[in-house]
Amino acid sequence: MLNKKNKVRRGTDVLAIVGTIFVGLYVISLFIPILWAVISSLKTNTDFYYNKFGLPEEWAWSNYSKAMTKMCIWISTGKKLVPVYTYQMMLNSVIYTVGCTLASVFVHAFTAYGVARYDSFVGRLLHKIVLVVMVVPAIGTLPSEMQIVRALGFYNNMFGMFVMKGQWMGMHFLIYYAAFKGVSRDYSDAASIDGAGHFRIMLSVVFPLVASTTSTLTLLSAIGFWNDASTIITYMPNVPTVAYGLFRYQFSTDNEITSVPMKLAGCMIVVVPIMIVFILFRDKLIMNVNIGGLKG
Amino acid sequence: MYIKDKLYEFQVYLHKKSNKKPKKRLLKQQKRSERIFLTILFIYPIIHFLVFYIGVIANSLLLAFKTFNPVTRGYDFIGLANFKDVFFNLSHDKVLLDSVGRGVIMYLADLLISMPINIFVAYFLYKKVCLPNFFRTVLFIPTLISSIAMVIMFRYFVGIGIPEILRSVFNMPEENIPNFFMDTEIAFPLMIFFGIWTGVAGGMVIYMSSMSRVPDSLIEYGQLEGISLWREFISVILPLIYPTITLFFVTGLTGLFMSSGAVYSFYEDQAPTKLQTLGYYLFTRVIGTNASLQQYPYASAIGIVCAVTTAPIILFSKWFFEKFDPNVEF
Repeated sequence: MLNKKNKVRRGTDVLAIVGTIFVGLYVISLFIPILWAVISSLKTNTDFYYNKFGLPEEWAWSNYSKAMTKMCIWISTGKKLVPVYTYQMMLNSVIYTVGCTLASVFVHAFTAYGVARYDSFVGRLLHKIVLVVMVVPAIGTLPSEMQIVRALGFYNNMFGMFVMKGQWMGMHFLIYYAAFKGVSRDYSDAASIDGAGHFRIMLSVVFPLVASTTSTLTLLSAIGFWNDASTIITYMPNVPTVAYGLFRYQFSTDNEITSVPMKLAGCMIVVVPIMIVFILFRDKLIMNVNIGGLKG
Repeated sequence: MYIKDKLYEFQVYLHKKSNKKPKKRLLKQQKRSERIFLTILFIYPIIHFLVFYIGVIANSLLLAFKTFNPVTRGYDFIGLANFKDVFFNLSHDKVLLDSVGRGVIMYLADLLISMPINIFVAYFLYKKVCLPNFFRTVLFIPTLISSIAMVIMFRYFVGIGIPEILRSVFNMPEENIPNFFMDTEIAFPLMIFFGIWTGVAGGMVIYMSSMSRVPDSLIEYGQLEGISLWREFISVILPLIYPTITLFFVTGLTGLFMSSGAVYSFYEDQAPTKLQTLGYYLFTRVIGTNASLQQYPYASAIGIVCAVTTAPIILFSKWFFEKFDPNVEF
C-alpha cells in the first residue's frame, strides 16, 4: 500500500528527471574509481605503468596474497618492535567490532528503555542531558580526554575501548527512545499482571517489539566500528585493526608494496569482508531503511 | 431490601478494611523493585557521563590554565598565559587564522552543499522515482566502505588516473597537468569535494525515516490536487521533517571551527600548511610525530575559546529555527 502511494506516477515530472540524472551521474562517479581500483589491483607494476585503464595483461592474483602478508604494522612494546600481521589485525577488528557493537547497542537500549518507559526524576534528567550534550559543544577536549584515558588504563586496551564506545548519548539513544515510547503500555501491563518482573518485561516483552530497530542499529554500528580507524589511531595504536593497518599501509615505503596495484590490493582486502556482510544482510538494512524501521 | 443493602455495604467495608495492609505492601514492593531496576539501568550511564563528559570538560578547563613542567613531567598552574597566547596568535599569526578560516569553509561547504544534497537524495529514494532498490543499494556503498579505502581509491584515481586521461585523451602537455594533492590551490577544494562526494547519502537512514512518518493521506491529497514533486518536496515534506533538519543543523554546528575533513587520512601529519585546518592542527598536537605533552595546555585553551565562541552561535541558531518552526504535528 505504501509503495503504491509513494510511487511517482508522473514520469515527466521535472524534478524526477533532474533527480534521476543527478543520482545516476553520482552512481557512475562512484562506480568508476571503485571499478578502476579493483582492476588495477590485479595488474603487475609494469603492466599498470604502461596500461592504466585497460584490463590486466596477466591477472596478478598474487598481489592479494602479497598484500595479506606484507600489510604489517610494527608496534613498540617498550623494549622492542613487534610486527602485527593482517590475520592478527583481522582478529583485532572482529573483537573490536563485536565488543564495541554489543556495548554500544546494549547501553543505548537499556538506558533509553529506562528513560522512555518509566517516569522518574533521573530518567527525565538523563533525557535532558542527551539534548544538552548535543547542543553544548565539548570542543578541543582531545588532550584532556587523552589524559583521562591514560589515567584509567584504557590506552592501548581493548576493554577500555568497549567502555568508551559503550556510551549512551547521541542519535541512537533518541532513535531507541522514540521506538520504546511507541510500544504500547498494554503489553508491559499485561505482563506485569501475569507476574513478570521488570527485567523479564524489558527483555521478553518490549525488546522483541523493537527488534527491527535493534537489528538496524546493530548492523550500522558494526559497520561503523569495523571501518573505524580514527579511534584506533588515537587510543589504541598498539592493538591495530585492519582499518588502522590500511591507514598505515598506504604510507608504507616497503619496496614490495610501494606500487599502486599493491596499495589497491591492500585496500580491497579490507573492503571485501564488509561487502560480504552487506550482501548477506542487505535486505535487513535496506528494508529497514525502506519501511522506516527507525520510525518513531 | 434496606437491610440487604446495609448488609452489603457492611461486607464491602469489611473487605476493604481487610485488604488495606496487603495493598500498601504491594505498592511499596513495586516501587522498591522499580527503584532497584532503574538504579541498575542508570548507574553505568551516569558514571560514563560523569567521567567522559563532565570529567573531560573539567580536566580540559584545568589544563588550559597550566603549563608542562619537563622536570617533573607534570603540569604547573600559570593562570591566563595560555589564553593570552591564543588571542595573540589568533590576531597576529596568519597561518593560524588561515587554518581557522579553512575549517569554517569546510563546515560551510558541508552545510550549504552536502546537507541539501542529502535531503534531496533521501527524498528521491523515498519517492521511488527510478530503480529504487538499485539506487538505495548503491548509495549505501560509501557508508559501507572504510573511509581510508575510499581515500586510497580516490587518491590514486585522481592522482594517477585523471592525469593519464588528460595526457592521452586531451593531449595536455605534462607541465600543464596539475599535481592534485601537492598543489594546495587544487588540493583544498579537492578535500572539500571528497567530503561531499562520499557524503551524498549521509543521513539517508535518518531523513528517510523522518519522511516515512509523513501521513499517506497528505501525499495522496497532494497527488489528487495535481501538485508537482517539487511543490510536494517544498510545501509538504520539508515542513514535516523540519525538526530532523534542525537537529542535524544545530548538532553539526559543533564542527564549525573543528572541521578537518579527510586531511589527516590523506596526509597523516604531513599535510601542507595551506591545507591544515584548526581541527587538524589540534589533532596533530596530540597524535603523531608533532605531538607532545607540552602542547596539551595550549590545545585545551584553543578548544575552550572555540567552545565559548560556538556555544552562543548554537543557542542562537536553535532559537532561530524554533522561531520559524512551522509547528506541524502529525
